Amino acid sequence: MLRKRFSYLILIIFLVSILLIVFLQFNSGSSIQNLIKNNQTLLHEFEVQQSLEQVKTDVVFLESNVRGLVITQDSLHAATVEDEMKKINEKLSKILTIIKDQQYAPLANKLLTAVHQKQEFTKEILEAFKKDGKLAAEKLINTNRGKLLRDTIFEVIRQINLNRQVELTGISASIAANGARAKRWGLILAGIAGICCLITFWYLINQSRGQVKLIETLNASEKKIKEVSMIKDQFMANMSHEIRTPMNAILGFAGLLQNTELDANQEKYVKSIKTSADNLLTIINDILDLAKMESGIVTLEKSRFSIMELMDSLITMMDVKARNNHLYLQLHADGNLPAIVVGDKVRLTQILVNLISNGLKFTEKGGVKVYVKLLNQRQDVVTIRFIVKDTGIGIAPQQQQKIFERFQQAETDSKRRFGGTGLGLAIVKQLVEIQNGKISVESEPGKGSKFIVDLTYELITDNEEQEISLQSQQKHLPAKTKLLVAEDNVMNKELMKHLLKRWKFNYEIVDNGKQAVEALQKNKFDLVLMDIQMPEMDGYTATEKIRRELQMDIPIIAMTAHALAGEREKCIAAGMNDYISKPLQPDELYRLITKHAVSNSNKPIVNLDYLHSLSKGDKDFETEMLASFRSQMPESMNSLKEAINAKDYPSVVAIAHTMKSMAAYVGASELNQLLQEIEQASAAKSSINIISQKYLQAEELINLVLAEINHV
Amino acid sequence: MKIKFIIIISILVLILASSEYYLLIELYGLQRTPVLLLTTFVALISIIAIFFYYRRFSRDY
Repeated sequence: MLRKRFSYLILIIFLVSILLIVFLQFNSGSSIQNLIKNNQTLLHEFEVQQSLEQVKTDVVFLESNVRGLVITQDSLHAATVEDEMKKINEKLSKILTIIKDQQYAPLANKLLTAVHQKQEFTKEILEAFKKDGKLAAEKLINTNRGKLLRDTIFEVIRQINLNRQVELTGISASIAANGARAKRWGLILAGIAGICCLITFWYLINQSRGQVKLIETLNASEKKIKEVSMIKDQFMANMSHEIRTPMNAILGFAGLLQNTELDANQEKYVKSIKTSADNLLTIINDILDLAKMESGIVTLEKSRFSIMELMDSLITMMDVKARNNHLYLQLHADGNLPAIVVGDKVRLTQILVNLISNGLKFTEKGGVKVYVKLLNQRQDVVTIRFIVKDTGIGIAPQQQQKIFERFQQAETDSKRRFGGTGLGLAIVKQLVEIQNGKISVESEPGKGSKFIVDLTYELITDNEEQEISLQSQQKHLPAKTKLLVAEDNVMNKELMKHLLKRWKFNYEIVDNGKQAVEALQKNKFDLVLMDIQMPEMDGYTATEKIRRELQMDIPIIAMTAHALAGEREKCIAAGMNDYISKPLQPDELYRLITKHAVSNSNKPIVNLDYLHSLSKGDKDFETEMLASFRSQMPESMNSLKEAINAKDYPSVVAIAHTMKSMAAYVGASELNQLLQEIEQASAAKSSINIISQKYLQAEELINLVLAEINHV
Repeated sequence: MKIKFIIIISILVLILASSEYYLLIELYGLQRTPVLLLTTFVALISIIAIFFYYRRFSRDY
């Protein structure tokens, strides 16, 4: 308000200054104009005075010439006299032109008459000289008339000069007054300009000081915010470490305990411990995910993937949950979706799992439909619309924007009825936004909700597509691999021992980074599992020594309870090859070991990466899915065999399609390919021999897949 | 949009200065009543218009 008033005050000052400047300029201009006019008058006056003096001289000169003519009797003088008379007339007419309108008109006429009389008298003398000779002329000259006329002329001129002198004094005084006035106005103008400059200067200085103060305050606030953010990050990191370390032990030992012989009650208790620990871990992961995204250090991992395969697997996985809740889960995908796209499939899975889980959670009757549509396609990018529509409790219009905020659920009693932290949709929104996508919701209470997500992906060329299939063949399973584990925590050491023993790996466990370096100097290992926080020498220093001093490029996987943003990058920057956060997920650890401790002897048949990304650490769910695969696959194979024998092509297509989704879900890409070939051959009604041959190959492969799944 | 307001206000300031100038000429010169009234009216209107556009300018930016 004060600032607004001040700005109006400045405007008023500005307008008053404008009015004042115009007024001063007007006055100053008028004075200067008067000054110029008076100067011109003065010049005229001088000119008149000079002409009058000239007339006087000319009259005397005329008289002298007449006398000279008479005395010398030289005719040349006659011509001179004529010329003089002409000159006098010219000057007189000029003077009369200047002064005729002024108050000197009577004097001017008097002068004119006297001059004319003088000229007439001169002419008379000349006539007498020509006619009667020298004596007659001298007689006329001696009459003294000429002298009287000359004196009259001089007197009139004197009177004129006298009068004009008064006039000149007035003009001079006016010039002086105008000059003084112009000077005064000029001074006032300069003063006002000076005051304006001072006000402007004061205003600018004040503004600049204000801005400097504001910048300083902003800098201080920014610094404070950064400090607070750093403290928050540090707190989150510490809490994450403190919570994850015991969680690691709880989950690990609960898993180990589950594999021992237990009576029914004990099994129930262990299962409860594990479920609760898993739920707690999910909540911690959600909070950490959100912290990571809010700190803006989430990196998108671009990879090529098939949207259809991902959707098939996702629906297969979520269908179990839907069936358990007596709900349906349907996928409706456009036929024109691109086969392979480039993008972050893990984030997409996370988004869709969250939305579908929410749909299933808040639906008591009916089910969830998932639509995948091609929204638009430009040269090398494609926008896909994912719609998750449920028949659940719905969301009131005023709650629809709030649900994307942290810890918000549509209704206050939703938390009590359905559980959850209220972080899911906040994470989904952040995940969509970091991929430059859009998310919206349409809902009606009691009728269900529709979540619409638009995401843009890059397209790949056909050559790249071929390259992918080659790459997918190049993953390997571990063989007789020798591992070095650097871990100081006794409980974690115990857990590692059990896990590595179970996976039949050779291993050696050391207490810190220093011992790890020494062990590597003495023995040969295929891979190092390195804890970060250890006494004597931490994981970062040990890695540096291994890389620089020992010059070894052995794969090193970091194990840390710091699960915050930037930790992975810090480990990679320190020279490590990969990173796993605690509590350790056995399957994730197994995957990383197989990924890095490469052996050329075995070819991959299954890849559970996708299952892990879908389950988000839900081990029970993974076990259930694998058990479902184990039980359903042989049944489906039998149905497929019967359909092939009966040459029932539509049934073959349908069964192969379902099996294909199941294979994609466990990452059995080769089996998936084979089943796709059976599906295509049956759709094209190819020879039944070809289909049978492929069936036999698939049967063989399924046995291998099942064997490997049993091993996992 | 910002330049639009600056141009309008500058033109109004010019109108104000000119009308005042003609008012002074008339005041020190022939002192014709219609001319005096007209120039005064134009000057006042331009001042009001300046305030009006300045308010809009401050509100929009």
